[in-house]
Amino acid sequence: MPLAVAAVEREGEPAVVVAGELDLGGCERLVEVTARSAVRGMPLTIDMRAVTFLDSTGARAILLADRAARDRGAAAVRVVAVRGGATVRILQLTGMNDLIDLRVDPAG
Amino acid sequence: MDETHDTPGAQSARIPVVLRMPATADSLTVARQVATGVARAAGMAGERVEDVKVAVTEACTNAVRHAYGSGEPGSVTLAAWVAGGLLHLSIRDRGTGFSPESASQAGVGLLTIRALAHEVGVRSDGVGGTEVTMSFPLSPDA
Repeated sequence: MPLAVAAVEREGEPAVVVAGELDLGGCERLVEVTARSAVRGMPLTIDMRAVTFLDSTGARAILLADRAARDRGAAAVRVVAVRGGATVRILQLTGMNDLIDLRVDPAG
Repeated sequence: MDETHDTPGAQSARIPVVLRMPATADSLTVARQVATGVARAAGMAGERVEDVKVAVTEACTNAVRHAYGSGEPGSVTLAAWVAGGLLHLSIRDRGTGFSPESASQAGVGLLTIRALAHEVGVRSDGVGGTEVTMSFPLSPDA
């Protein structure tokens, strides 16, 4: 499934919705869109619930996107992912879950 | 030939498989599709197929990112076969100067492969490229 990265607004706050397969080919896009979406002083959500594939390069891109948003002044960055899905699994496997604010959605 | 399956569709594959691709990010999706096909054709299912997909993507990503110089064209070859109750995969490039342990993200990729696969081997002599081999048990009980 091709990667889709979209900047949206949810309940007045910026969010980035990611869907499909995130690997080397989509990393720059995720970081760029997240950096552009950040609003100084506001929290930002990276919604990974529709991601169907993630590898360690994609996991690192989440980390870089988190840092890019904070550099642009985001008050906080939350990463939302499905319990038992590709994102949570690889973030835990690489230990990167400890470096971000990961919110696991049990309902998906 | 160890096994042959004729299931139609993009997710099917014949085993053994040898696939040579350009060493570009666009090839990662193809490598993943082939890995999925061979894992299913070998009788694997569920999370174990996901393990194969991730491990193959990690090895191919290392080849794409580190095997060749900037702008230098190159290829990566994926081979898969079944023997001894295991699915074996080989990801090989023809680049020079790639030491998988030397680049941090390549190192993370290798650690990820090692966490997922039954056995992992890396051969990189700086002359003939780098080959990463890995194997996965066909049986979930193995």
